[in-house]
Amino acid sequence: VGARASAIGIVGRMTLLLVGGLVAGIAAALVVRPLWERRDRTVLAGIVATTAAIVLLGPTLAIEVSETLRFVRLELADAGVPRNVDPPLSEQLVDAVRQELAAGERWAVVTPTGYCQEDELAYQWLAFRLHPAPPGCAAPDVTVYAGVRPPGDAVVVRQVTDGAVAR
Amino acid sequence: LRAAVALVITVVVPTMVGMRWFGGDAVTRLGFGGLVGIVLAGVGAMIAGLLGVPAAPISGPIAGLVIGGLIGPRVRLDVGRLPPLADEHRRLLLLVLVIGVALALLALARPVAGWDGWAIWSLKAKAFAATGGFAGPVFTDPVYAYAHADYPPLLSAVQGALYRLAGSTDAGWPLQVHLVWWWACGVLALTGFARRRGTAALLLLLSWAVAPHLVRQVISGYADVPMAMLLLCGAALLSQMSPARWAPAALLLAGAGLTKNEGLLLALAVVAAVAVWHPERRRAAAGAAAATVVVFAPWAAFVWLGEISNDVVAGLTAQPPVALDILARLPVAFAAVLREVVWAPRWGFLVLACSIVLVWAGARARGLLVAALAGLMLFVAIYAITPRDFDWHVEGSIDRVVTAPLGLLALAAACSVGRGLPSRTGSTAVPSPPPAREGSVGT
Repeated sequence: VGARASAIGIVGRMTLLLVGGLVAGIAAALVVRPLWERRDRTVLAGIVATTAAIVLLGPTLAIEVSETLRFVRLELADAGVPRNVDPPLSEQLVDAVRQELAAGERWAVVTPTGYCQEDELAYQWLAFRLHPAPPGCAAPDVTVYAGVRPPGDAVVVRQVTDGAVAR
Repeated sequence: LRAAVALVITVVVPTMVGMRWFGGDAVTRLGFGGLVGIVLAGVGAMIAGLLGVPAAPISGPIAGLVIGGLIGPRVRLDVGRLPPLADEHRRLLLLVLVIGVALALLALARPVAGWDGWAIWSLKAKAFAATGGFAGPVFTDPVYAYAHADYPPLLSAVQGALYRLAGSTDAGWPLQVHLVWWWACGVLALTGFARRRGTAALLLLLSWAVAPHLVRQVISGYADVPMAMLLLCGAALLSQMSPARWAPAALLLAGAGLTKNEGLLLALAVVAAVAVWHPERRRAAAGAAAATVVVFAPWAAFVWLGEISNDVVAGLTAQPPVALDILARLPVAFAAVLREVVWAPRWGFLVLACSIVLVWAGARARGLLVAALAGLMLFVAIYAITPRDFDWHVEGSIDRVVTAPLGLLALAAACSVGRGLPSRTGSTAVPSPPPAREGSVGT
């Protein structure tokens, strides 16, 4: 199932790139065609560069449209995540920890990758999302467990489907 | 709704003030003026933040814009009149408009997308908006060390004002749209500038401005394109327009220096190259250099007094590189930069076209060409001495950092064709419009 989904993803992506390139190619042709009559080499060099830029821009914009739709689907309004990478925490979990943090309190995050900076993306992403509450991995007031079961001695104060907030 | 109003205010008001710095046709004034307004607002915000002025994210930009609005008419630069819009130019500009609208629509639905966009620039904008200054934990607490507190604050200061006006830091789209506006101002200014020089110049600058790798950065939240736009527009004014009216160029170059650390080095490289290769512009270049240093000085003092370290400098200080290691790395770093700029899907098409133009028409804008090459060599040198892991450093940044030097290359090529280039000894003021269809570009 995974291989089939991956194949569909690759085909979809290739189609997206081709359509983007095709549309951009047509646009480039319409725009630069009148200039081809020029005999000046500097203009011709410029035409080649502009045509290449526009044709390559088509697939690039197609990818960005796809990325933007992914952000919308994931309900990411504040910070994005790298391509092909899932958000380190669900919006539910981000909301839960925001509600739990009091003014002046510090937090730490635990994910399957590790504790705090060991998971660079989760740490920095959450630091941005939770600002002004700073990280405090040495002595956190609140610890977020994302995709990880809290230890037995942790006092879980909020629980969502993909994680928990503990004190 | 409040975010939308904040966005409109931060776009319209600085642009109206910035346009007071320019005379001539409205479109070019709009482009250059928009960028000047952003720099005025950002510098005002930075200084107010550093001085601890109450409500600095709001009061600072207002003060900067009021002062800038008063100074503007005294230092006004006339950018001249645009030639009638030829059909071929109309098609090109229409396509750029379509690209701009597409980017704006995408930006409306996007968070701050790029990792460094939110981890560095927008994080500091949030901190500035929240605390009204640069003394909060994001700038001082080691837990935020990854955010590079020493990086210049112009982009974060402008974004902080936007966050504060919007009354919320939970949505990235106003910042994204603002960055598209920033790009659009640069495109308007550069296309207005290029249209006076003819079709070849317009094509070269457009192929840089709509290069896929540049456009992607526009909606990622990075500071590289904003810095490049300020740098190119400042360089275009400094090297081509009336040397007697150098203040707008100086402000734009100072803005580039206050947007990224390498922006400071590139701005000074432009100034030095113009001073050496255009003797009649030495006074203007000296003014631009002084403005760049003066505008950067408060931030440099803050970084120095606050003992905020730059990770590259700190690494080099802790473990000075051995000369032999640097020599061994130089060819590798050079090859990495060369690969990046000649790789066709990224920048190869632009570099090829610029090379052809420079060979065929002659590198008449030598100052800009030297600045472009110096910019590329600067990154070769940085990669050669970097204390960070070499591969990690190169892979994580090379695609973005070459944007500005390659923009200077495109500008150098564009300034080598068409009319209006001042001689080494002469002092052409405002470039005159080229004929509607130039048949002998470069002569």
